[in-house]
Amino acid sequence: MRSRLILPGLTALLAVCCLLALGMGSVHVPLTEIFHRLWAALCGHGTGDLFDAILFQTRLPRIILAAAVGASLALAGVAAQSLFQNPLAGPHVIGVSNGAALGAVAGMLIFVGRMGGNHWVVALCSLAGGIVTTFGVFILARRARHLGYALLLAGIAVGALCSALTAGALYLSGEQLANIVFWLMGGLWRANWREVEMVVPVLLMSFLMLRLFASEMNAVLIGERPARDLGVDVTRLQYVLIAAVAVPTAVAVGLTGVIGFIGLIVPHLMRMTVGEDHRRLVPASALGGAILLVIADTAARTLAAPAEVPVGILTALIGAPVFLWFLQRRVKRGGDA
Amino acid sequence: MILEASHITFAYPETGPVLRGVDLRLEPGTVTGLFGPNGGGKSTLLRCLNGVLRSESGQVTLDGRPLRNFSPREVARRIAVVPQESRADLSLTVYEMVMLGRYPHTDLWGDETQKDRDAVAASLTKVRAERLAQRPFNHLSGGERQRVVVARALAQEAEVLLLDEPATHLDIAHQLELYQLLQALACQGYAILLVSHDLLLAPLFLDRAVLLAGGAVVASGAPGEILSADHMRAAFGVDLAVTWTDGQRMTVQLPRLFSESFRHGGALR
Repeated sequence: MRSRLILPGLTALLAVCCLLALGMGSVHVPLTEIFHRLWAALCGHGTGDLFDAILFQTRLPRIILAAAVGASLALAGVAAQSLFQNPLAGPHVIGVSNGAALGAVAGMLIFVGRMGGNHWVVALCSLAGGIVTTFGVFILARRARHLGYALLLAGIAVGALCSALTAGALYLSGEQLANIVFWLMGGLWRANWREVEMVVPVLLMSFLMLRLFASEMNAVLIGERPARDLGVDVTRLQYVLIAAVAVPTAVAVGLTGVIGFIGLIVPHLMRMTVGEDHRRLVPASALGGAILLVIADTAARTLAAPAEVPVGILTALIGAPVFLWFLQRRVKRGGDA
Repeated sequence: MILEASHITFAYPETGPVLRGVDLRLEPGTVTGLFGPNGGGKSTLLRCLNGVLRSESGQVTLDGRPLRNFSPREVARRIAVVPQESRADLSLTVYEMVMLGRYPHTDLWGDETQKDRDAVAASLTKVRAERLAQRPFNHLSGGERQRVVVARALAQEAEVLLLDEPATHLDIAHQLELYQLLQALACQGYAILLVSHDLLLAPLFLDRAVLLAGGAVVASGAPGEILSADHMRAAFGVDLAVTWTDGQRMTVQLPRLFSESFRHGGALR
């Protein structure tokens, strides 16, 4: 009974967080004013004044982008944890974050100076970097008997290589260094409706895929062999999961830099709340990731206003201790982390 | 539902041939035991029988229809497997664990129907684990876990049941309980294959037994016949024979070497 209330509860919490976040910032907008203007905009007679511009051109796309990126990263985390059969795995494990970051940095250094700061180019380079890395890791690991372990090891090695190349590129980047480093820390200050249009379809696709494969993800909990005995096509599921880790992560990194720990921590928190059943875990994680990043991003843009803290620093500051707490719990329970 | 393997061969790329032309027939209402030394091909044969491994030559048929014409989910609706070992660290409840056995019957979204819930409840009753339903799987004892895994296989509502050394970690009371359950299930029409190392207790509950060594069938027939000294020597390479009188009293003849060294109080070398 309790678990039936969790999904509607999380949805309501997300709506409340979004509304509060809309009002917060350098210009405070009261809640009644927000409702009034939202209603007017929905009915098609928004005034288009300064308040409307702040609400609908600056804050709303940023909040929706935060929610969509948070949900995407959390779903990528669910997929990674199912792929590796380890609740402490995250989207970074197969090297996709590092690969996407390398692609994005290369894109910035090669194209942005010449093309007047076109963010789409950077996003595409990042996507390419993430996909190529994942593909490379997959090719390296494919022939091994235990795809999970081989992917993990190849992912660590390839991820480290990408980090080294990124560091090398930064060393050579000259005057662009500050920009790129700031971007790498992760942030949503460039958010606009075009980025929302790019992330939301990817989010919906990955949600639909994972929800469709939820019962298969449940079945592989008991192990690869017994799952095959139940009629699960484990190989197909692994391919789906690799794509569900790589694509949303690469897109998110391309648009917002590296925002860590959401993919690691949200699925784990949700597992403690709704249990192991992926039919509930998938929607709960999407909602949880959205809520967490909306809150973190609102904090990032208001805590040190008018300056802005990169949200990646905040999520890591909160995430790392929580992650350590999980590890402690597992060690105490005698489980192998 | 008759599951039949004819002349099947199988080889792993690293280790070479494991099965060399094996014939096996499982019929409804019978419990068949599959014995043999470690590495003799028992588990490989079991995995060929449900199509998870594809045999290189020969074929496995279900009521005359080749197994490779069935989809994996279709096979799982007809053949259920109780695996050798289960992950013990899962925090799923027993009910959720048994519900996984309904996977081959679920629709695209994986939603549970009343039929699924009934099947799970009936399976839990059959293994007498109803009161465990809401307990987490990782809080159970070894014997309880094994009963739950059997319940998961029963929830598949298959007609063939393949068990891979299900009694290995059970004490003798739980072993007896499991064997009696298998007999009862056979009476309900299941065709059952029991892979086992238990040459002493298990044969008492079998209708037929098959001895597999070196990837080939050494002997098959009534359990009393195949456990003769000659067959034991051929399969396991030890001088050992098990005989029963009236299917109740059992005599084990130990190898002479062992019994003599015991008698003289000497250490085994």
